[in-house]
Amino acid sequence: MSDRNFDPDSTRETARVDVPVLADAYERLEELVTGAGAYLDSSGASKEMAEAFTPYHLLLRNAVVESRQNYEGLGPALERIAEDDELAEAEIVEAMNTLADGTESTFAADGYTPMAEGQHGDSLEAAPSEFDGQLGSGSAAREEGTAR
Amino acid sequence: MSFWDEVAETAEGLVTDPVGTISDRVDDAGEAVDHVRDEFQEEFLEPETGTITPAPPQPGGPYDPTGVPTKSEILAFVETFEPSVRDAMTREAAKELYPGWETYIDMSKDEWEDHKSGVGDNVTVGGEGYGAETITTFKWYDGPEIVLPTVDGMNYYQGYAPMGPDPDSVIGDIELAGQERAKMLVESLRDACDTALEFDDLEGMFHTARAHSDLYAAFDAAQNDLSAALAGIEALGQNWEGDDAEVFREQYSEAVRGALQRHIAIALNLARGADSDLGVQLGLHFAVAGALRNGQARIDELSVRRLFGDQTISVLTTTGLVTSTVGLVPGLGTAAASTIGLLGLLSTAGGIAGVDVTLNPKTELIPSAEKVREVMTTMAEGVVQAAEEAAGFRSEAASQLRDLGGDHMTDIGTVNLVPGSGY
Repeated sequence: MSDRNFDPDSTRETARVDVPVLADAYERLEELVTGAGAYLDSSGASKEMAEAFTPYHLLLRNAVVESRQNYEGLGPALERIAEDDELAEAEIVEAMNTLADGTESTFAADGYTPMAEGQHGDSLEAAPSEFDGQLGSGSAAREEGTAR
Repeated sequence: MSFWDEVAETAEGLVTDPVGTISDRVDDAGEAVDHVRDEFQEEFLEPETGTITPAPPQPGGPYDPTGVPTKSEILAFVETFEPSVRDAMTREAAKELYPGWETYIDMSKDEWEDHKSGVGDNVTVGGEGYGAETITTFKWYDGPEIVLPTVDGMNYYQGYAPMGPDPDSVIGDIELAGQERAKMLVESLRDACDTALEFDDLEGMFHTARAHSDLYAAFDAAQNDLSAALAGIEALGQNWEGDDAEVFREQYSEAVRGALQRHIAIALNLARGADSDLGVQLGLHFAVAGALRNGQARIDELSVRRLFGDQTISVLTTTGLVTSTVGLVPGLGTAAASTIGLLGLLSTAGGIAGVDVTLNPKTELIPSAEKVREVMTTMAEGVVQAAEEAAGFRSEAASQLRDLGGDHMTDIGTVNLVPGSGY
C-alpha cells in the first residue's frame, strides 16, 4: 500500500452519486445531438455550410457519446478501486489506462482525426453509438490486472 | 430579439411593403442579405472556444416556418406572370407582321370596346366614335385576344401603313409565337428561382437550427445541473499521491469541467452556424418573393389606366357624389359607362337615375413587350444576384465556423473533449 491518503468512502460516494449524474446527463445530451443531425445528410444545411457544419457536429456528437461511455465506465472503476484500497499503485494506473483504451480505440476505428480545410467529414453513420462491448472488455481486463 | 428574428423581420418588411420599382426591390433584397451578413458578423465573429458569455439563440418560438414563402410557392407564383407576358408577346409578334398598325394592335379588350363605342381616351358623352367603320377595318380575335387590321382595313388605309398578310391565315402563328416567347421569359425566371432556392422546402434547415438551439440550451442548463457532480469529481483524488493519483486528476478531476465547457462552446457555435445558415436562406426566400411581388405590382401598374387618383375619389366621397347614380348611355362598354357616369356626376352634381357608379373606374391595358421584358429580365437578374450574394455569405459563415471548429478539432483525442481519453 502506498501513501496515497486514499479515502474509500469518498471514492465510493463519487462513484455512486456524482459520476452517474454525469453519465445520465450525457446520455440525454447524446439523444439530443443525434437527433439534431437528422437532416444533415439531406436538407439540414446549405451545401456551403454543411462542409464545415457536419464535421463539427460529428465532433460534438462523438465527444458526447464517448464522454457518456467513459462516465459510465468510471463509476464501476472507482467502486472497484474503493473496494480494495490496498491496490498497488501500478495496478491502479493500469486500471485507468485500460478504461481509457476503449475510447482511444474508438477514435482510431472511426478515423477521428482533425479536419483539414476542404476535407469532408465522415458519414453520420460513422459516429460511435455502441461501446458496451468495449467497456465490458475493459472491465474484464481491470479485474484481471488487479486480481491478487 | 435574436439574430434570426431580425432577419425575418427585415425580410418580411420587403414583402409587406409594396412601394418601389423592381430595381428598388432588388436593391432591397441586397440590403436584406447585407443585414444578414452584418448581424452574422456581429454575433459570430467572437469565437467561442471556451466559456460562454453572449446571449445564446433561444430555442422554440423564433423557429416557425409559417409565413416563409417556400420554393414551391415561389415557383407557382412565377407561373402567374404567364398571361400578362403572353399578351405582350402576342402583340410583339403581331406588330412584326403588321408594322404601322401598332396603335390598334396594342389595344386591350377594354380599349377596343371603348374605341368601338367612340369614347376612347378622350371621353365625352355622345363622343364622335368610330362605330361601323372600326368594325369593318379591324377585328378582335378572342383566342390570342388581340386586334388586327382586316384585309379591307389595310386596303382602306392603304398609304398610311403597309399591307400585311391576311390576319385569318396568320392568327394561329401569332398566337403560338406569343405563347412561345412568353414561355421562354417565364422559364428563365423560373430557372433563376429554382437555382437560387436550393431546397424543395425548409424543413431540414428549420430542424437543424431549432434542434441545435435546443441542444445548446440543454448544455447550458447542464452546466448548472451538473455543478455538484462536477465538484464531487473535481474534489476526488486531490489528496491522493503517486502516479495513479496523477492519472486520475489529469483524466477526470481536472478535465470534466473544461470538457463540458468546450462541449457547450461547440454547441453554441453550431447553434449560431445553423442560425446563420437558416437566416441567410430565409433572407433569400423573402428577397426572391419580394422581387416577384414587386414585379407583379409593376406589371399591374402598367396594365391599368385609372381615371381618378385617390384624391379625386376622396373628394367625390366627401361630397356624396359617388353615392348617386347616373343614366347609362346605351351601347357603351362597362369601363366607358363608368367613366361617363362619373364625369356626368361631376358635371351634374346629382346625376340622373340609372346605374350604380363604379368607384375609380379603370381601363385594362396591355403593357408593352419592351416593358414586360424589362420587368421579367430584371427580376431574373435580381434573383440570380441575390442567390450569389447569399451563397457568398453562407460560405463566409461556413469559413468562420470552420475556423472555430479547428480550435476544437485540435483537441481530438485529449481530455479537453473527452475526459478519460487523454492518452
